[in-house]
Amino acid sequence: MGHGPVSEGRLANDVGRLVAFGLRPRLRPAHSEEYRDLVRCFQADQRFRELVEGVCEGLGLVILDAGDYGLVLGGSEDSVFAWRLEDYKSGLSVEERLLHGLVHLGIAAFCYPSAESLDVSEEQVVHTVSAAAVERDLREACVRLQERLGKDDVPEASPELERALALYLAQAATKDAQARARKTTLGMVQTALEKLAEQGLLVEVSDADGGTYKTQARYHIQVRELAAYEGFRVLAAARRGR
Amino acid sequence: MTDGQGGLFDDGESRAEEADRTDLGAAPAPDLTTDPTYATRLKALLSTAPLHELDATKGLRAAGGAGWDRLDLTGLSLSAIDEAVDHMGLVGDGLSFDSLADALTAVALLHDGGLPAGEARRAAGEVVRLLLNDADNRRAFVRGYADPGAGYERLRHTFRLLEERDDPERGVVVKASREAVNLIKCALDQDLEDAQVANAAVLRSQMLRGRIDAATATAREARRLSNLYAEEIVRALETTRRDIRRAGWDGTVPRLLADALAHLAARLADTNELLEHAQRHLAGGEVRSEPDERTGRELRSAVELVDLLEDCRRTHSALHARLLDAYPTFLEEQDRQVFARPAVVIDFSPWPDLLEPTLALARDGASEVVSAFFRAATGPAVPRAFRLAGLLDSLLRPPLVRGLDLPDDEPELVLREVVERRFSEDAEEAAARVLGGLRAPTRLSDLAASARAEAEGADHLVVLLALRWFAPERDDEGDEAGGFTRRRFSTLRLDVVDDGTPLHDAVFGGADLLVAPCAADGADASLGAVGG
Repeated sequence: MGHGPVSEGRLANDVGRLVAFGLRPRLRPAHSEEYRDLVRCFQADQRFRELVEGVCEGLGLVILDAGDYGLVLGGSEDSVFAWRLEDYKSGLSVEERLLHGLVHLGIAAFCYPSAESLDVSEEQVVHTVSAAAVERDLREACVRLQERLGKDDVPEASPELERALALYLAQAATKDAQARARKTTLGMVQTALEKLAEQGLLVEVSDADGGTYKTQARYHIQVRELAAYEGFRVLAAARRGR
Repeated sequence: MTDGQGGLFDDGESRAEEADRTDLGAAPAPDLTTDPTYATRLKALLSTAPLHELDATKGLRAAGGAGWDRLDLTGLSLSAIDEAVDHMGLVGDGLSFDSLADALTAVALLHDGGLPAGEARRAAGEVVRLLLNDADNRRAFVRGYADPGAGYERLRHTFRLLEERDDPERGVVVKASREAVNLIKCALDQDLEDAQVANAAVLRSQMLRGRIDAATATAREARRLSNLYAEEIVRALETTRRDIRRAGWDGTVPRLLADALAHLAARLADTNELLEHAQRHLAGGEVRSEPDERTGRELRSAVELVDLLEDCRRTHSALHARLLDAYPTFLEEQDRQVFARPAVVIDFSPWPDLLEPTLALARDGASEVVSAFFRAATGPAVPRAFRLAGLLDSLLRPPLVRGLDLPDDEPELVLREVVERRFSEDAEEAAARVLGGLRAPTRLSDLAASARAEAEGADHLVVLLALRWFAPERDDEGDEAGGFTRRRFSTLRLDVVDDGTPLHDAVFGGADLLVAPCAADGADASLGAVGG
């Protein structure tokens, strides 16, 4: 295995194909011999690896893992491939965008609540996650936190000083309150789970509890290798700036 | 007591205190916990706690009226773990949640033949879900214990029993956890390697004495042992591959590989010899004519024995191949990992340390955190490329009027299963019976006739399926049977030959094909290649 004396054009073609595979997260090397060979090349051939890394860096992609689950990529801040909350759904208000973001953070924390659950050895362990359970746990956490921290009196003119949890609690969980189906927090969790499944990070199991899903190893890699620290880094900065 | 191990050197006063407390009289209380295996055994004992809790709440779990009194839920749990271990080998498709529940349902019905099938299935599902710890989002079980090695400090033993794992090739499969495997191994009270050697010796002796029934039971154990051994080695390889620095390249890995290779070579030689013996026995049994009931049973046992030993051989061979592949992989990995960035170790807990503080932040700060998290957690998105064809569509689309008062509620969409079905269920069943029951090459005309007699349209389906195997097409090519039927017959394999005989039939014309059940078992053939 490995690239012997092949032409540069051929090598560039291989690099391009591997990156293209990485951008199709639902595809696994086990399903495609071509993909499997390219991943093996990446692991075994230093020259090829350096080329792939260079191309990815240029595209603003971070290589999180290259192995049995394929080339797992993350988008850096200014990459054209980065999926931003601003592009998540059209026509979202700033508040709604925050709620959708909280829901995504909530789903990840629900699946991997502790440091141990994000250990490399836990990578293959499959967790089940349902929309109803995530909504319930998130809401309970907000209620508990509000009790502990007390309710802040925020000037009516500057609602942005309000805690994020108050925004969550103000949003109805389900449709009872005549709210729009997709604008309830349960609806938001459902949307998020669907999107994560489209990204190959979860698989749908059944309709039970508002939609039940199972985690894929790829989600573990994504949260462990990039998201957890990214979130933590920005959180620390935000708290320092307060 | 702060000094747990110091019991022997305590002064008289504290010893008296101890005696008072434990009411043992004047004799010094021996420290029962100095046995080095104490902690291991204690943990093994703790790992069975969920099983006992399950049995204790049996009454609450049974549906109203339908008693689970005769069900031994602890026994069912053990059967579930055994079943998982039996499917953990390196060959085969692995075990899904549903097939495990099916297998357990059969066991539950053995416990209580009078139990309604639905209730048996519910009990089986309940046992699997408990072993996966579904009630607690499948997190690890946690039980506390006092550790004698640490001055009887209360420690937490975290463990799993069954776990679903995302296998790169097989998808989501159920596996027995390391702790569950240890539970079974504790029952063995031996190293796996030793147990395998002992098992082979017993097997050989049983076969030499012609005790085929007993040998089959031993071979079942042999298969379980080889699965356990393969699992142990594969996990060790995985850990090492992931992080060579953590696993240590200080001779541990080469030693592990060398030991495993030597052990496997011996296992393979042993298994081949036993297999040869069992096959000779089987051939001898078949030669004898007029099988009475006893020899009939023995023959079945002998067939199972050969199958079990074949499984063992395949597992050994597959593991052998992996080990041979492992050494160069390690050298490459070591190279790679020396230069690569170190493995990420998350030292905080996402729920209390990331989610909760973010919820407590003011909106602006929280927005920044969730934006960064979202971008990192969801993976890359491929931007849509501009296409001329799409431009025309978007130009012709009427403009979106903002502020128009449209009803807010999105329509509730109900998922309806659309079944493309070209043949009736009766026809499909008839075709499945006719083709599934094939034992010898049969003319297509005969098959079509018997299918026609069973159900309307069944003859069409039989002919279609035969043609499909005469000239197999890729699945996505034209398929007259329709997707639903195709899926239903996806496991059917036929050998179809045209020997030039013309077909005389009222409906169909062409060649009267010869249809036979598929001789070459795909799985066997490919595995044989690995073994060789």
